[in-house]
Amino acid sequence: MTPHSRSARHRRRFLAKRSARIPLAATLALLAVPTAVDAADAETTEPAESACPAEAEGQEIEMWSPLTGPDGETMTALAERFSSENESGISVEHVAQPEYVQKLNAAAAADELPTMTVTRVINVGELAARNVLRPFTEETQAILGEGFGDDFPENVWVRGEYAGERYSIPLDIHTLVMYYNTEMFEAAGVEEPGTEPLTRDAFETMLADLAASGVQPIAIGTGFQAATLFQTFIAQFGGAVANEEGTEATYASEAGVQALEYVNELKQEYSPDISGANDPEVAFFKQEQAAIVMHGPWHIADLSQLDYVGFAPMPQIGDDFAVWAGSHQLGLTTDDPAQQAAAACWIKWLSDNSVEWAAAGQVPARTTARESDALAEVAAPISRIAGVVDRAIILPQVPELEGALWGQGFGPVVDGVLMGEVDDVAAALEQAQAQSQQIIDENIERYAE
Amino acid sequence: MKVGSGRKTANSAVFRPRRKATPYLFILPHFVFFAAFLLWPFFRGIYTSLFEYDFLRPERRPFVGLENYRNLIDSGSVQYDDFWRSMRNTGEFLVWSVPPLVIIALFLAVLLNGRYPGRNLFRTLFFAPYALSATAAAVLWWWIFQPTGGLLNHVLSAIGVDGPRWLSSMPETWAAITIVTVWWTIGFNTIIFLAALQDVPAVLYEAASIDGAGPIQQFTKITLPMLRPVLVLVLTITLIASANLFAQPYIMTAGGPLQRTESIIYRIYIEGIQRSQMGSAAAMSVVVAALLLVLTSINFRVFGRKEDT
Repeated sequence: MTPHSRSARHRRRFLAKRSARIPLAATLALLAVPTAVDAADAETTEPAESACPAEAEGQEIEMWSPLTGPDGETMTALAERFSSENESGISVEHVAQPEYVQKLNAAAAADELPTMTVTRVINVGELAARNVLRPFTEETQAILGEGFGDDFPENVWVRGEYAGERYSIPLDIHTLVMYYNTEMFEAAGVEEPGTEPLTRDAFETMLADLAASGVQPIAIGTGFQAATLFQTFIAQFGGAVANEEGTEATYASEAGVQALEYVNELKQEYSPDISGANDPEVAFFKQEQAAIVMHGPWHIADLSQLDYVGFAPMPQIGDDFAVWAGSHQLGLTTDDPAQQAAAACWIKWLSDNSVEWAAAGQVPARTTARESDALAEVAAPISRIAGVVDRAIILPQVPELEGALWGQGFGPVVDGVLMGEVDDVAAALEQAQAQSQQIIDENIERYAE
Repeated sequence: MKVGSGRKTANSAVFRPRRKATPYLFILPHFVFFAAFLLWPFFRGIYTSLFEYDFLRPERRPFVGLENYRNLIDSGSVQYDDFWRSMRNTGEFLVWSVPPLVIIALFLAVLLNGRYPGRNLFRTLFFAPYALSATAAAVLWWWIFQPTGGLLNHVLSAIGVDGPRWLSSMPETWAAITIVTVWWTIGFNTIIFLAALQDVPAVLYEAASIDGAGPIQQFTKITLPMLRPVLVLVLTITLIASANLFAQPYIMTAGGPLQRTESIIYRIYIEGIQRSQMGSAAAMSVVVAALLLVLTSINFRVFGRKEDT
């Protein structure tokens, strides 16, 4: 594990303390992805693995994805490399689609689906139930190889299953990350966090010390960020937003109240007054108006270009560590056996080489990739947060569960509390939970075969 | 653009059958598109609203009769709160946006109708934003309205004003969305007014100024009455356009703060596209369409009255 990640400019000032190898690698990973890819390649590609069947030969694959940011370019580069290197003559074209679920729905209705797609884990159940995703057959699973699933953390691997069949293969896990401003930490005399979650005491002392030094300690907004913090802390306090089957909303619990009040305390005590869509809290952090922001890892690519940004896992506030996470998964959208076989060959290659996917700011789902030495070279920040993914919370695979729980459930309550418009937290959660339950029940009825 | 100009008696035609067919032939090209993209979807929407309808699951599409409508008036249903909240929100936006969209457009049209150098440049400038997509306009202003680092609050702070959180507090968010909408679409209304103004005979103004009427009197006694039919048209178009508010809150606020800028179209989008409840969403659309029809007819009755006298 690397102690800290910094860019080259910052390094000059702190050269005495820091190892020179790490920032160089981080810069390489960001500025010259192909170079980093080549460097990592030597260590990860295993010899003689051409389990690709004859029928897959010469197939052209179109893969859609929601990867519309810089991560999409990394994916395209990987697809191009596979296309030029694989011995079966398979070519992969990656097409990033904004609003990808709606594009998939429309394509399904018009019978013009691509070969496969990258999907967000929360959409797998819904896409499977609505005949967009196709299950992996025995043949396609055979291409992936015996015991393929053993190399994934259980919590993310099982989320690729729906109604007893496998519909998707996890590519990455994106947990919340604690970004911090190293210069503000230094000025306040606060020690930088390590690669293990901070304890509650250490975290709160850190905030108090930062506040004492005259800076805003943390940027807490509303919307996505607030809701994912709530989901993180409710799990840490021993609760859950839903039961393990995904049939009951359970967030109006003692842990739920505690979690929401904790987020609110952090915001009221230590955060500037931020709210609104499109992550303004991250903009605040980037403008050096707050020392910490907790957000998705997709900001890593952008934020590691700033001299003063450090990366750490989320703190542990409750009795158990847990952290909200999403996951990109790879699913098939065709019934054609040759196309499926070719897609499976590409999925296997991509998964086997997924340490390189870390360059896109994502934590690889494959355990061997996360534990590989190459990870720190490809993306030093990722290696600093990769240790906690097995304790990531990902909702059960029930169609439209997230919408029922979040958008039409606790989401508005979390925002209401943080914006000072809800006084009775417990009652508000109770009321929202009743609505969530009503929607879940309706959904279960709708999706019952 | 003229409205209600069908009063002239047509020259008596020689061939009666041809006279009958001619107007329909003129209408036909438009009617084809109207039928394909409005009429058919409209009736299809009514049909869809009677089902629990997910277009990707034809195997499960139960007929539910009027239940989707009943849900909208049943306070215990999942849809009730969201539907009526977004209806109220849309009503609020109408109050915010329609007056400036009509009044400022009229004012601009009068200014742009004058004779001065650079007139065409100004006409182009005011109309130009209308050529943008809603997304481009919304993203542009999302940046301008950023509470920290946004252009507007930056300028405000330079003159010592602490700018509000434009996109996350009320009622500033409505003001922000109204400003975007006015900036983006004002050109359309202006052009319609401008065309109408150019149809007002100059002799009227000449006669009025000889009789000693000032500019304000000329405006209220000549311009406004002459523009009445167009005013009704613009008002109607603007009401309908504003009731269709979607892209601005979708991009700038995600319906926030606390779902207070979630417009009815936004809600229909969530219901139909995100939640795959096409039947329920169609029922909402039918109700909205019916309300807009009522609103439009009231509008024509109240403001269009004098046209026939």
